[in-house]
Amino acid sequence: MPIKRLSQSGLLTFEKYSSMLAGNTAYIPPAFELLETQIVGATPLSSVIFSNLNSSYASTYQHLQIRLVLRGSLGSQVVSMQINGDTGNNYAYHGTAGEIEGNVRDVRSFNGSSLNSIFRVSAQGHTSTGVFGVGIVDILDAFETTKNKTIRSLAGQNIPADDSIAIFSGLYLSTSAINSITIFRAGSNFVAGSRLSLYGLRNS
Amino acid sequence: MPTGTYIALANTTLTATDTEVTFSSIPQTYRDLAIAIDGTFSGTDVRIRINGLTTSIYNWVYAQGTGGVGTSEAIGPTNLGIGWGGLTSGNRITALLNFMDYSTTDKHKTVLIRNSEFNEAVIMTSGRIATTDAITSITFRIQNAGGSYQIGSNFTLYGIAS
Repeated sequence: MPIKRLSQSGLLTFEKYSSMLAGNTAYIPPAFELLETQIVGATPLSSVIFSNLNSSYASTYQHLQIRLVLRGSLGSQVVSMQINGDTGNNYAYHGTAGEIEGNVRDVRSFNGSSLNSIFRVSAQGHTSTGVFGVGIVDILDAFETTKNKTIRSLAGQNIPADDSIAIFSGLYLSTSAINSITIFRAGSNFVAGSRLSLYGLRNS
Repeated sequence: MPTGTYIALANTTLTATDTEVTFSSIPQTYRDLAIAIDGTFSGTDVRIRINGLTTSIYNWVYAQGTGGVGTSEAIGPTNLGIGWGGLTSGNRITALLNFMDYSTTDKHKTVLIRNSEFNEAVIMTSGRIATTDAITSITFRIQNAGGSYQIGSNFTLYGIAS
């Protein structure tokens, strides 16, 4: 005979809840989520592209973050970022860096109006193969269509006689939602072990 | 499928002064670590070490603004700097540390630090620790003997997947 009531089940002690949570706290998903990761394998890559971002993520996320661990095939290099494949003169950036080159230490500021330069990566020529440059890039309101796009980054590398730490502010003069992001360094490749991870910050 | 991450792994708020604070047995299931610090420190030169390593493997460069001309400097070698500390000037450190690829074994360990130090400076730091070992512990210490982390200082460790 099926038991239809808990009071008829033979259980002597039990507790009834009016909520499906049954006394548990509600699960609230993290607001910071991993979306994609690309790791460079044995074949060096001249660029890494995150694509179809608007169609995949615009409805869920407000901001994007890219966390980078990169090593270039040439000497110390500035890495650039291109949005939506736009090669026009629609970018601007400002940066401040602390740099040690040889025995010279310096804090300097710089700016540009072409592609967004985001940071420098370590040199392939360094004797230790485990040396990589790192950076964290935040892209704010990535999918808003009423705002030009703004970017900030913090990045560094530590190579003997060529250390740097830099903070950048970038602008992409377009109100289009971001659909693709290309990370590259003209004339150079990212080598094995380089890692680029894309994260989204939820909009609600 | 997106993966929720930036997961709180450990949190410590000091109820007594201490000369060192250590996160140990750090799980290896994440790719990056973030550590948020909000605290005050007697003594000067707030530093970190990983895996208890005291050899000359720490390379770091910082740049700071103090309201005057900015400065930068590369320093080493037996630990890695976060900020200045020192209670005499009422310093309070609020810093965010990001260890990149901490659990991998094919790279030197790297860290990016942003530190806002009241009454002193705003500082950004890039560090490389010349070991390919995964990070299993991180110790916060005061470089100058006699210094300590003060009551109420908070340290929170987060894991970030990739």
